[in-house]
Amino acid sequence: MCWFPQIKADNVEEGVYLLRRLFENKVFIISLVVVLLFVLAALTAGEDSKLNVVRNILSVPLNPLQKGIKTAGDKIKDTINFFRDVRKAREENIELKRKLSEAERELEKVYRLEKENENLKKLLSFKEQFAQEMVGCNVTSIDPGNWYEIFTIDRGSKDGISVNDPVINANGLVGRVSRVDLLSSKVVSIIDTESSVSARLSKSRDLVILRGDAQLRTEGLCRLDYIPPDVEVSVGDKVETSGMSSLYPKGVIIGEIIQVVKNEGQFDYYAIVKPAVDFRRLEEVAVIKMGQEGEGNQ
Amino acid sequence: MKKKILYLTLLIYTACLMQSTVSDYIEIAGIKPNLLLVVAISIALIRKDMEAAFMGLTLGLAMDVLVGRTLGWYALCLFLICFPIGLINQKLYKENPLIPISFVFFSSIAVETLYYMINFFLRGYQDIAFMFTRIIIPESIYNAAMTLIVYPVVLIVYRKLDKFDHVHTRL
Repeated sequence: MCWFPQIKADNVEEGVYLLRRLFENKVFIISLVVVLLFVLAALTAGEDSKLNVVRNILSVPLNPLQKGIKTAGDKIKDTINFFRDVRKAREENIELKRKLSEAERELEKVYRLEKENENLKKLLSFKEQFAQEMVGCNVTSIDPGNWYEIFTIDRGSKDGISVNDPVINANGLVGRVSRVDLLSSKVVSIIDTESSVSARLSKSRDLVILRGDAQLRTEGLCRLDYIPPDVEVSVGDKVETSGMSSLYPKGVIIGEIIQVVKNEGQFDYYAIVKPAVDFRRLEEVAVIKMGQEGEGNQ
Repeated sequence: MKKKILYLTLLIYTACLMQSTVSDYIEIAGIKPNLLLVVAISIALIRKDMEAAFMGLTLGLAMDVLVGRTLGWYALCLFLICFPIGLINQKLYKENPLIPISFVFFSSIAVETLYYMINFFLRGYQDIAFMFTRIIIPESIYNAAMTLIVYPVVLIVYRKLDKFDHVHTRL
């Protein structure tokens, strides 16, 4: 007795015929593709999933072209906006002069505090933050869809960037790296709906959580949640990163509170924060390479 | 066949490039058109069901890569919407520009709503009214307007393709 059924030539033919019939059936193909897409989505949901390398098929050839178009486009935009900018600059000039005089006053205070801080740090032999290496990057494209606040930068795994590296610019915290391709990476900004940052109120040193909001996002704002009821916050208070999570370094400016919203009958209240970074006009950012240090420790 | 694939790849790459760069400059009140969706629906209007569905799938995957989140959701939405359009497109009178425009408008609403449902609503975000009025409807209107430019371009590309192929554009 043979264990396997005898494979005859017409059996094979019949099988091939059935398979062909199956693959000519449109309902079958559609359900197969739908199932495969669900599998793909499940496999690529993780941010450092290995399957994310397939993104390189699109992102690697696009990267240089995006850079080129971005540079050319910005030049054209500058030319068109020249006259409007002049008017804006005049208004800004008045505003800035006022701010400068304020800042000078503040600065004196800061000098004093800096000296004091230095002495105290020496006493405590404080571990210096920002010891990690930083990479400057250009923003090549701002979120192509309307749903998220994600932008593309022109450096990727080739330059040693890894997932979850914090991203800052001269004004303050921008976000974190969410996907890394070979030559480019995606950065989720702090106003994205799914972003949350452990933050601290600069004045009172209270811990709060800053998160993106689906509605505020469209105006470039985000919200400060879980403010304990005994903490007084007021408009104009500065918010900075707390350093409590391993994600973001401590003491990076996030923004300032522009509105405090108190709801009757609720224990805690929330505030609306205007980030120090203008997400619509991002051009250059810096990525702090945390990943490398982590690998070194392992 | 090889030339056909080359041309289609070029079309997809160009669309992606436009979507990721030019759409920054032409956004109105923070809303960008979804050019890849417009291209997919345009193709669905002139090709057979299966070809339309798989072009939708490819363009959807490209959009997923550009957006930078989980791969597959835009692909799923576009795949499912392009197939029925590919089925019925023989019965449409496409000389009338209102046909592609209205198809793009309503499929934009369908695709973006489905995308919102999968990515936000099922995760517990309950601001569908805001999202609908602030993002989905304006984007669909913008997409419909972009059809006036994109649809003729897609037609030109597909007329070129017909020279390499025996399949004829359904016009």
